[in-house]
Amino acid sequence: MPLTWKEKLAGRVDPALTEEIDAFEAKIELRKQGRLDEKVFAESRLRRGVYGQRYDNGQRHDGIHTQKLQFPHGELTKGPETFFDAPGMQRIKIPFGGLTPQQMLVLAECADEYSDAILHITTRQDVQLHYIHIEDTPPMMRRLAAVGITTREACGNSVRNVTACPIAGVCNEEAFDVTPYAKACAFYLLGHPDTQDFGRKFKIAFSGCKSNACALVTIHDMGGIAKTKVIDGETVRGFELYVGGGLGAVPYQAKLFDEFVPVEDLLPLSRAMARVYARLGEKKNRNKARIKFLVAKLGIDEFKRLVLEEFRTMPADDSWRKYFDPIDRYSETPAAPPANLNGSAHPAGFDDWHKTNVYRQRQAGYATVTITLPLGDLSADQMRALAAMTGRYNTPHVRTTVEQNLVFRWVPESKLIDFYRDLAAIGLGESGAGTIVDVVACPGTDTCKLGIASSRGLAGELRQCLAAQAMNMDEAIRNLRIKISGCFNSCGQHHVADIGFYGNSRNVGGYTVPHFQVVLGGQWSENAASYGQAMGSVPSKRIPEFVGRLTEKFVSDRQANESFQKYCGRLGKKALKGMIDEWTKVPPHDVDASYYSDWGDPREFTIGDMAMGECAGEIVTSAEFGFAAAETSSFEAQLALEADDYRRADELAYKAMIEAASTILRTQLPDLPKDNATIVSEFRARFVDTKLFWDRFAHGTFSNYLFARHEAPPDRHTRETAHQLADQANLFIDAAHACFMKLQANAAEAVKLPVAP
Amino acid sequence: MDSSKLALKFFADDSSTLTPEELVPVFHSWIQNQVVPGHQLIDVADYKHVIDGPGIMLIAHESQFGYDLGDGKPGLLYSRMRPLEGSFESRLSAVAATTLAACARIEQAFPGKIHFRSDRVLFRVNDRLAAPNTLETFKQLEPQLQTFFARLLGGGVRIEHRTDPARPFETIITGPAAGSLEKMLATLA
Repeated sequence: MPLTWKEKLAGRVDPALTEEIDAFEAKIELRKQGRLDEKVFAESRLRRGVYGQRYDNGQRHDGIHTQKLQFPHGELTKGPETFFDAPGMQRIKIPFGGLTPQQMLVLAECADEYSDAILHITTRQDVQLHYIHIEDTPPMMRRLAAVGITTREACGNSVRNVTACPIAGVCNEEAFDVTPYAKACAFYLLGHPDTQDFGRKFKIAFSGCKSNACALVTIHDMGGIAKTKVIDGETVRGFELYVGGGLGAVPYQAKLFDEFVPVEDLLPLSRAMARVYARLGEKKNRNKARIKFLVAKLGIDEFKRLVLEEFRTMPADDSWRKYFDPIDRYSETPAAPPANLNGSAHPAGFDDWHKTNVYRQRQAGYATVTITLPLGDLSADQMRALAAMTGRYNTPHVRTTVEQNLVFRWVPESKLIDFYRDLAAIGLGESGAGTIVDVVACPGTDTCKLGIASSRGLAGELRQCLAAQAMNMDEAIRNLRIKISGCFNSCGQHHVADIGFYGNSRNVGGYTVPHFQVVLGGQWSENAASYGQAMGSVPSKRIPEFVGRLTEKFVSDRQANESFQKYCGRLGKKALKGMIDEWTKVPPHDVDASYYSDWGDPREFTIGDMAMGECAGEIVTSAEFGFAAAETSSFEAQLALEADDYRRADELAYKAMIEAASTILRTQLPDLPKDNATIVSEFRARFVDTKLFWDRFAHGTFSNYLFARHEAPPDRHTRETAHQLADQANLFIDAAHACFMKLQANAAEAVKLPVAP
Repeated sequence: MDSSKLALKFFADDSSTLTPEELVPVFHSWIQNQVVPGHQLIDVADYKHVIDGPGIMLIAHESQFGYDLGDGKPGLLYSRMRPLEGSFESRLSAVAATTLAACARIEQAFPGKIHFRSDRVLFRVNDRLAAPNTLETFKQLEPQLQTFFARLLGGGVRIEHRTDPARPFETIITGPAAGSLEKMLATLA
């Protein structure tokens, strides 16, 4: 019997992949021996998709105390502040979301043996496994490699998973099937020497049409929308190419790079773009390092000029042909003959499911079925059962989706009833795909180190509440989308939802209370054509009621066939904010303590026991006034934005940041002068240089928003710049709240310290 | 068979009324008090939304405890993840002792609400390299499993091999009802 997976899989893994995994395994050993620097090791593992996970800094607040976690390797780390033995997350890239039955089986095996028997589908069509020990990652990578999956560059400053419409090739509206182009792009750029020196990640997506949302092109660093053109009487394929989009804390819409890039130029042009990004992109400040900042800095015209110059002059590299040439031969053929749905009796639940989860392919007699996965999760057993179904129904083409679901293609319509019965038998027969019930959420505080509030907890609660009402729900509500991120980083894609949320927290009476910022009116269709606006924060525990009220109001107040985006626009920020304000109250802790813990987590949501003295009480009061003033200015900035008064929006957003900075400055300088230059200079010296106003992960990003605006006010006011500054002001205020809570906690800790005799 | 990735599941009996979410605060309290010897308890994972899934899990560095809903039959599933020392029997014995102690703690936390069966156990090896789900593995392990579970359950046992090759090696052991968790634990002392 073989002793290791390496031996067992000998000859079945690409030698190049074996070499890479061997090298990674050796690095683990070197790190254990202390012969490899922790930062170097961290980047190595990240580039293989081996992430840290919450509590990997070796401590966890258990609701009463902060416990130090004891691991066999003691203080050994696998990166800065990341304990070697702490459980981690493995991200597994699935180019264009395409899975074969064999890959599904191996993913299930890995979930069984190394993780917690759960596979999580991400908003970028990846699969993630959690609670994995780093020493288990090399054998897992070998097993995945044996079925053609690599985890290389699933994280780190690299080209991440290349995503594409899950219905590419079977869609009724696409110009052509983008699948082979997405695949070629993914594997051409994977490990390419020109993609190894980025300051940050680079995300690519392909869509078959402009009108739908399936690939969300405009939120990507680079995105292509399929297009055809008649040239000299011949129809040729190409892409409408976009660059410089991205969500994150402050979202950017991608800019049109070229209306038509012939398909032959796609891969070399991607390479040229990568070279320009690697050469000119920010490297030191990771918070300014995405290509969107480079495009914004240079302007799209200059960026395009540089890329085209690079395209013409870069050293020859014909390796792209290896990936491009097979595209002509690509086809996805159905394994079962087509047949229409006959008149058989429909089982209970089938009609609802058919309405929301079945898509009629352009190929007559076939359907694409979306399998709704609650919170993007499925068990290893369910994955195995689905793999078996691919055989039973001759449907070996499965894809993950950015809405955290799975899609089966080429299901003969006549088999849909049996298919539904089989899905229901394994607990996957839920209807509601792509509706308000199908809530998307990033991992949030469940497992993510950056999570502030429980996005999955809230999503689970909303899902449960909404599912109970789904049958009687107005169609207008049913078709809305809810997306939730655990923090401002937007992994849950809250900016492009009708109703989006991102986690933050507020201080109430000395306690930290989980909240979510409400972001309304984002546009999902047309490849995420516009982003929502932040409206204010609501306590986590009040959000289900708030959603109920908001959707009721929408149905009762909407004008004929008015979309939610248009409804939000018509109502205006002031009215929407007024609606939100009804839900912002938090009862005192001794009246209802449930507000002070998060969904699904009974621990009190706090960073420690607070000790409130008279003096601190006064500070809280004045601080609350200060924060209220900052939030009011921020709100007015949004109103000005809505009124297309970009200059005023900019000024008010700046004012909001000055007021928030002043609020925390007054804890040290009660007689703070009122001139902005002094405020900014004192703020920098007392809070930024000292790292008191400092996010563990975003570092100085939020303070830089203030400094950048203070030092260089815009000479030209546009909707985009004003929108960005308004978003930045919101984030700055959140950071000021967090800083203030940290100051209070420090003060409380100082009170508890024994006094030296 | 030198794998440590052994798993045991003791099923809740049909009269049990415990809902999975009731275990969330209990597992958190186990972390607060670090009640499981030889384990660094870390986190609670809630998968109750996954039908017939792993339910509510308590994640430790060494292993995972789950109020597992697999096959629609709830029970406490303990899965060892990190290496254990000793022979197969001593590893299995250690896994059984930890699982039974956890079951006993749950019964104590919910008196009258849950009772674990002592006549039916699931045994799994989450290690396809060391224990592929084959007849050969079954033949290799069956005698040891017979001896171990006859002692644990208090009499002759029947071992049913679940032969699906896609699944990990897995058997269902049925035997005379041993009576109580304490009695079974005593056999391991």
